This record gives sequence, structure tokens and C-alpha cells, in this order.
Amino acid sequence: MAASILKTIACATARSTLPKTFRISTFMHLKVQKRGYDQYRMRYLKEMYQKRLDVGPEKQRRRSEWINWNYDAEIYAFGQRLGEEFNESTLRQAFINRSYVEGERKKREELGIDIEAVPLQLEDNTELAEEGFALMSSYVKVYLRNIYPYMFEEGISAVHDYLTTDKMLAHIAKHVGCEDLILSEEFPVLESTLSTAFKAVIGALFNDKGQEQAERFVRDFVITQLIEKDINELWHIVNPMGLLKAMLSLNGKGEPEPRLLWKSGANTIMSLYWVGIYSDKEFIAKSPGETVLIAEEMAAREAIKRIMKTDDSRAPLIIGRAAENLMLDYNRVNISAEDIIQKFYEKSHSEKNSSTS
Amino acid sequence: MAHNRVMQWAVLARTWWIYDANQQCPFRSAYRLTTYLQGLHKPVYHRHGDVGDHVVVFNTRHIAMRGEFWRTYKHFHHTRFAGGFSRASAYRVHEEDPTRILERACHNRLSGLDNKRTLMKRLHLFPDEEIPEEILENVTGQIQQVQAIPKKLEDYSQREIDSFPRLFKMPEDYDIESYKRENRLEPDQHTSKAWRLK
Amino acid sequence: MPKNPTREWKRVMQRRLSWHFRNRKRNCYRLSLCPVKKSLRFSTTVRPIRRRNINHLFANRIAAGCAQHGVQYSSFMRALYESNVLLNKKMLAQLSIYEPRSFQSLCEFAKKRHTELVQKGLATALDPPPSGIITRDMIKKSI
Repeated sequence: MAASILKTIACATARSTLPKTFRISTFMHLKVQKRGYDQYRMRYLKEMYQKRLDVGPEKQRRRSEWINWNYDAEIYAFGQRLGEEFNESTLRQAFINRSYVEGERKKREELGIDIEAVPLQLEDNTELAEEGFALMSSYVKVYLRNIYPYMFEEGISAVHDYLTTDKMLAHIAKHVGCEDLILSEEFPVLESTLSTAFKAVIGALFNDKGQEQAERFVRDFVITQLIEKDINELWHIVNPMGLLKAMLSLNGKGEPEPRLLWKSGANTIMSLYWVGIYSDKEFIAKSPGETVLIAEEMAAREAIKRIMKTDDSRAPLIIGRAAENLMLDYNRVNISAEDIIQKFYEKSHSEKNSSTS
Repeated sequence: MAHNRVMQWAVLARTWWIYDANQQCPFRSAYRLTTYLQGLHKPVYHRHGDVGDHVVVFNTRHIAMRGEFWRTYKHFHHTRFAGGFSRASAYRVHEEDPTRILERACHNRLSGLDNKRTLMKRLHLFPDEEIPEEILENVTGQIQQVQAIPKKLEDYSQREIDSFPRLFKMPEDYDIESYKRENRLEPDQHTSKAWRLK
Repeated sequence: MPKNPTREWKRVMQRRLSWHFRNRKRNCYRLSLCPVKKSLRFSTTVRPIRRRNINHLFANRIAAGCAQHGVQYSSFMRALYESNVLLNKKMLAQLSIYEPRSFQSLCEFAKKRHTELVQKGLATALDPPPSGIITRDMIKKSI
């Protein structure tokens, strides 16, 4: 008896919670029917489908145009999501793009409000972004130099450039959840706006919590983009054999000597050559290729990889908790490939002059 | 550095293997050769992935069969017309075409595969030691033979043969020569006329 | 508009099962009836076959990897199983493709273990073990 009463009450409450109009308009096609089919439903769905075709796709709207939008709560949640304690005012400033401030100013002018009498208390994120970018840029370079101490300076800056492009930063910003929070005139938000906002977030963290916390943030969100990425592919060496030759001669070793190790299908379209590079009859590296020339070039690249200690068997990046105790040398500068080549030319020229005289 | 591209090329490029069929069992050889043709020797093998290699076989004229197989092992053919059936012993087929037995053995091994014809085109058979230069240039690796080559009677010196202990001696008027096939007048008497190879 | 909505829904249901067919069997209701029934029957029979094919593929790949290092598939699997190396066929096949060095060390281990199994404790006495491999027999011997 009691059970049946409870059941009727539950049914009654379930029915009463949904307003009648709401139920019919939005939940009609989601309601699952147990027996048979409603007479109207197929017609209704076809009608809606035709209407959608006629009207076209839904217009893209800002998240803030919807009714359940609470900017204060979202700003708070942003910091909580990332596990960082931002100062609220700085974080708000980090999301204000310059275009938004200018737009607001223009609106006031149109309305005839004197800006000097009632100042516009809005500051855009340009300064914060500059600070953030400077910190990020320097930290990325310092980190890479310390993790890959034998990598050339050119390679380090190539990886750095890859990480700090607008495209990459916009990608990170989007997935961290900056897109909805940004205040800007244009919509959808541009890549440059997204990346500026992300830089400004780093700048805000730097101002609020200091350098160490900001660097940790960069390590967690920017440097992690290198995972599963082959850093050797980011730096294109134009003449690998020349560089290898210069390096070996400066280290007091013999000239690199490419040798054909083995070949297969030489007369076919799928020919394969393996070329090894030796110096003073010592093996350095080997690589395959479609022709002998390609294989030789690739073997030289492989040799440079070995020398830079960034070959495929390298250790994974130190990130996360393991990186807490990382002792980074902030003044470290790696060897530059350009310097090596210059030294090599000077050396060879002086040798030539001495031999002729 | 685009190095991964060449590594991929190295994985997927076709290797050319060479196999010496001298004194080898064709059926056991076929088992080994089809492994290479299908690419079963590579960890990237997939039935529909075209990862097989080329195999060059020479000395197919000198294959060896055990027991009475040269006589009892038959090759069948039917023209699909009435009375079109024919069969021939292995030695007859071998006389017609010295690469035929090994080719059929490999063909039968690959039965049931959709890409059988493609795979068979990658098998290059040569009856003797002469292999065209452009094919020999492609070759990289050698496939191990399935059995050790036995020493023939001709390889022993006359002194070794003489010093070998004999159980008995043939009588001098014992006729061996006329029983040899090349000396017989009508050699294929045991095969009925309709079934003989044309 | 159809007069009978039940009939229309039935057709929708049928089209859900036949959308991936070729030609008119894909869209025409009457033509799709038989093939849909057949395909449902096929889907039942093919279930164990698919599983078997995948298993064969893994076995083939592992065997190919083993052959490169001179181990037989059966002895390799047996050695790993008896030494409680809990890698399944799928992971071994992936190792043989993507991590040839790890697979090579597994092969070396399997070889050592296999000779021990075959020679019953004589293996350690006969030849020195490769570096970095410790097996049960060696521990027993040192004690």
C-alpha cells in the first residue's frame, strides 16, 4: 500500500517538475516510447529537418550571450581548474584585449560621454603579455639548453620558435579554456588574440606569485607540447655534411668518410641504399635512403644527431614532479653551429696560407 | 630532419633474396621461399599489407626429390574440354621445363591467397647458374638452404672408391646399361598412351 | 507524408542496417531485406573467426621477430610464460615492430631460459651467460 502511494507521488512530482510548454517544445524527440510510435513524430522531425535546411546552420555566438553565464564564477574557476591562485584583478586584466578597450572608448564617444570626466577604468593585457612572453621565452631556452646540453644554439632557438608561435600558443590557450573568457571586439577570437591572452596569463602569474610559479606553469603547459615530437625535425640543417666535417676537424679527428654498407633493388623503383659514415676508420652513424646521395645526407644528419645527443634513444623530457628539483643553469649558452663553421674556415685558410708560403 | 621518412622507406622497400636450389627438396624449399614472398619474416607482416620480398632462385635443374618421388609424384592438368585431362610424372615435367616443379610447389603453398599471382611474379626462377646481370645487381641477401648438399659419387677420387669395402662384386656379364632410361627403345611403357605428356 | 507512421519507422530501422551496402540494396527497402538478414547471420559467424585471425596475425609477427634473433616461437612463448613475464601476444607483437631492442633482449632471455630447460641445469656450467641476464638456475647455483 505504502509503496503504491509512494509511486504515485513520485510520478506526480516528475510530471509537475517540467513545465508543460517546455516539455513539448524541446523534449519531444528525445522521449522514448515503449510501444508503437506516435502519429506526429515522424512528421515533426521531417518538418524540423526541412526548417534547418532552409534556415541554415546556427549562428556562432559568444558564450556570454547565453543566459547562464557568470563571468565572475568563470574567472574564479579558471584559476581553480589550473591549480593556480591568481589575483582576480590581474587575471581579469589578462583577458582584456586592446581591441575591447578601444571599442568601449568609441562607444562612449558615440554616446557623448566625456572620457576625462568619467575615466574608463580598463587596462588591456599588452604589458602583461610582454612580461609573460619575455619570461616564457627565456625559460624555454634555459630549460632546453640544460636538458640538451650538446644541442646547437640554432637548434635550441628553432625548438623555441616552434613552441612560441601564435598557432601553438593559441592551441594551448584554447584547450586551457581561455577562449570564452577573452574580451575582444572580434568574434570568433583570432589566433593572435588567444596567444596574447595566454602570454598575459603567464605575465599575471609572474606578477602575483613570482618567477618560480610562472616557470612551473610554462613547464607544465608549454614545454609539454614537445612530448611525442621529434625535436630533430624542427631544425632544418642545410648542409649537414659540411657541419659534420667542421666539427670533426675541430675535435682533431679525420674527415668523415661515407661508405656504402649495402644496397637492395638497385635497378628497381624501390631501391634502397644504406650509407655509413666513418672517421679515422671508426663508425659514427648510418642511414638508409632511396639513392646514395640521399642516404649519405641522412647519415650525416644522423651523425649530427648522435653528436648533439638527441638521437632516438635519448631520455624522455624531465617534466612534472621530477622537474621540481631540476638545477637549471640560467647563464648557460650552448655551442653555436655558425661559430664552429667560422672557426673551421679560419683554420683551413691559415693552414693553406702556411703551406703555400 | 626528415629522418623518419627514410626509416619508413627502409622498412617498406623490397629486399631481393637469392636461393641456391642445388640438391634441395622443392617442397621444403617452397615452404621457406613463400615465407619470404609473403613477408612472413618481417614483424610488420599483414595479410593485406604488401610487404613481401623478391626471391631469385637458381640451379632449379638440380633439385632433389626423396624416395620414388620423381616417378610417383604427378602433375595434373585439365583443359576443361572432354577428355582434356592429362597427368605426368615429375621427371617428365622436369624434362620439359626445369623450373616448373619448384614453381608449382610454391604456387600450391600459396593456395587460398588473393594476391597469389602478384606474389608469384616476385619469384624469379633460373634453371642453371646463369642469372641476368640486371637481376643479380638487385640481390642483397641469401636464403639458407633447407638441407645439406650430399657428396656425389663423382666427387670422390678413384682411390677412395677403390679403398671402400665391398660386400660383393658384380659378375662381368651383368647387364646394367640396357636398363638405363636413355638406352631403352620405348621408355614410358608404364604410362598409358592417353596420359602421356605431349 | 506516409499514412502509417509505424511503417515509416520500420523502414528507418531497416536503413540503419543497410546503409553500408552497395548499389540499390542500400536504399530500396524491398531489396535490402534479404541482404540485411544475411549480413546479420554473417556477423554472428564471423565473430570467432575474426578473433582467430587476429590471434594468428600476432603469432606471425612474434614468430618473425623471434626468427631474426634465432629463437623459435614456441620456445620463446614457453620461456616467457614459465618465467612469469606477463606480456600478452598483442603487446609482444607491438614490441617486435616498434621496440626491436626491447624485443631483442626478451629473445636473449628466452634463449638462455630455453637452453636451461633443455639441458636441465647444465647450461650455466657450459657457457658464460650474456651480461644483464639473471635466471633461476644461476641463483640456485650461487647459493
